[in-house]
Amino acid sequence: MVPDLTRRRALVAAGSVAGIGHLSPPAVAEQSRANPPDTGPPDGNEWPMERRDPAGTGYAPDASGPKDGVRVRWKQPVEANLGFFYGVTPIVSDGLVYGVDRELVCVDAASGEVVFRVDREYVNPPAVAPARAYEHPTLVFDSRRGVDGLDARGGIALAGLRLGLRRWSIERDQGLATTILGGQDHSVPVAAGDSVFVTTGDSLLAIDASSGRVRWRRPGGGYRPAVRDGTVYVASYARGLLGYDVESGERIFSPDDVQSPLSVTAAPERLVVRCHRPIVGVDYDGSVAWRKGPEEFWGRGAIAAANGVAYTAGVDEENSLVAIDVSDGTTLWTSSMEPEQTPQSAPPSVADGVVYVPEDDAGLAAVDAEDGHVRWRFDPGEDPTRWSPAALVGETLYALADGHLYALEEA
Amino acid sequence: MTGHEHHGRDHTDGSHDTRRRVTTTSLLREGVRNVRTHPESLLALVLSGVLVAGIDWVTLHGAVPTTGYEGIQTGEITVAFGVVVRAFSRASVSPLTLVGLKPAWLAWAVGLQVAKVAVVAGGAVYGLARLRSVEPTAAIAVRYAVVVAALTLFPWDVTFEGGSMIIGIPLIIAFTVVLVRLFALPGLLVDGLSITASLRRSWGRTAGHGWALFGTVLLVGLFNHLLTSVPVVGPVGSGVAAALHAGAVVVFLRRTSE
Repeated sequence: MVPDLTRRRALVAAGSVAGIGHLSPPAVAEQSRANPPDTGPPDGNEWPMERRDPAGTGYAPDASGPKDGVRVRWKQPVEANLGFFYGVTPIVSDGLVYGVDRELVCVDAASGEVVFRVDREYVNPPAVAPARAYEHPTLVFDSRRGVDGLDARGGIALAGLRLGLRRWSIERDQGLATTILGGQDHSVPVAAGDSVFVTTGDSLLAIDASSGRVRWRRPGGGYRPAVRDGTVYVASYARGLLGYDVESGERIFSPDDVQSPLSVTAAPERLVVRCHRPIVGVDYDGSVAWRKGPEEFWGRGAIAAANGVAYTAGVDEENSLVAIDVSDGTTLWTSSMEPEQTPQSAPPSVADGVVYVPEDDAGLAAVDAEDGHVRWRFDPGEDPTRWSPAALVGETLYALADGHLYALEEA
Repeated sequence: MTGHEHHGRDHTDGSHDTRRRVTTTSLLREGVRNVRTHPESLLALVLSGVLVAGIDWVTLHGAVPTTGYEGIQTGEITVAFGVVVRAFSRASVSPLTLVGLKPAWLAWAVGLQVAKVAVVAGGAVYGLARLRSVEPTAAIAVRYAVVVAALTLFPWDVTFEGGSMIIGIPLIIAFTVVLVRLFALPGLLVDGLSITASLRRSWGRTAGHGWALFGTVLLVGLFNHLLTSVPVVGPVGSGVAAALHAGAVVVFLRRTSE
């Protein structure tokens, strides 16, 4: 029995009305709505979501990670599971690094000192999204419980509690799906403008990062969406490649020739789509520019894109990192290194002519973007360690491995 | 009894009929009749519901996280009964979500909540006062608003999961007892008693009427839940339920008058 407003359940973002404008206090209305939403890449000192930008390129044009050798600048313990999957990509924003596993740890990027820890387990990296009503952004997680919006500064610490840590949540019974495949290519939130896009079992949700309100919900989901130029693209294995207007949710893109897509990267030149067998280059007008396969590539996993070249793992008879010319789909080189494959190909990270990829049971590898030769390998443990994909900010590489959050720099 | 309570209708209608047996049926039937004879009380509560619906709409479409009402359409069957008579809101802002807001948004969010409490208390005090034939004073309205605000801020969000039902069921029973024993609270507040005196007197006055009041709470609460579940205009319907609640409270006070 409830005495007043019935609010027994956990916070549930209310409403799912599409196309309704946002009422704002007069002082901030102009600032929040005068300009169209910025869905472009983050600035150079950020790696605010998995694969860095809304487009999912995994490319940090202003960063320069370790090129010829590597050393540990700092490392910080993170309570971790002994799983079979590679770790969760650290997220870097506003001078803070977020590492997640069996707990959420926020660390000062420069010093490595812990800012706060929260005893919450997450299997996917968060997205840092601007929250127009708040002083600090919202840290959006998609978890087994649903989608959580947390204060990126951890709320207010008081007597062992963190007051105001959770701003909003959307419970899983609203349609978010669990997956037996797992891994961080699933249910990874993508921040673009003041919206966060989350895929579900068969839906794509646009969520207001500030209020947690579901702005719209459309068919198609399962893998990380990619956003470019006001369109959010989603690879839906069952429904194909779909594109929606980020503001209205109207479907504006649906090419017929792309079957069973598994991941999409919105490169500046064109979409690069990994399907069940082939990799496909799709122009933004919906026409297929090239197909690679179906015999050469198999498997799942993200594709990075930088300077007209796509980087991904090719799995056929051999597992190897390959570089593909985005303009025509030709293979530029095949590296000898074997990217981590469990549960799917780890997303490469690219900066300043180097591709960083966690290697299958062999630590972290830096591969030359020009010819694919391995510039260095790093694994400080005695036993082979599963490394997370890298986050590159400034001259530092952040990664999670062996129960630690690492900051690596040029040796 | 304080001097304030003499303002109530108990003594102006002091016939033997007003002190008959208290049953759920009689409280509700006579409560409806009461409201019919004082349509301005219904109007006040419905009007407060209209204003609450407007404030809810603004709140739900702002940038501050807001909890929506889980209505019948989500499969929730709830006894939505207020400790005090009031039109229910379909949107609430948890005090914890105010942490870290920009000053303009903080003022906006708090301002909307204050406005909602004022509207709710204003409508309820006027409606109850007309039914009780007392003068609604500013002091009464402030006291009533304080109770509404306290109930709004109190963290009622209790979720019982799995084995916690062992703890949850006794808590629900205890909570129901409290709800029943505070049935007369809104009427006593409008009679001019202080908050503590109203609490004390309500507790004493409801003794021995538990089952009748429980039935009333159940029926009014379910009726209110159904009406509040209507999207957007739910608070308007809740204003109607609040009028029924108010009518029942007034009948109860009349029948148990000393």
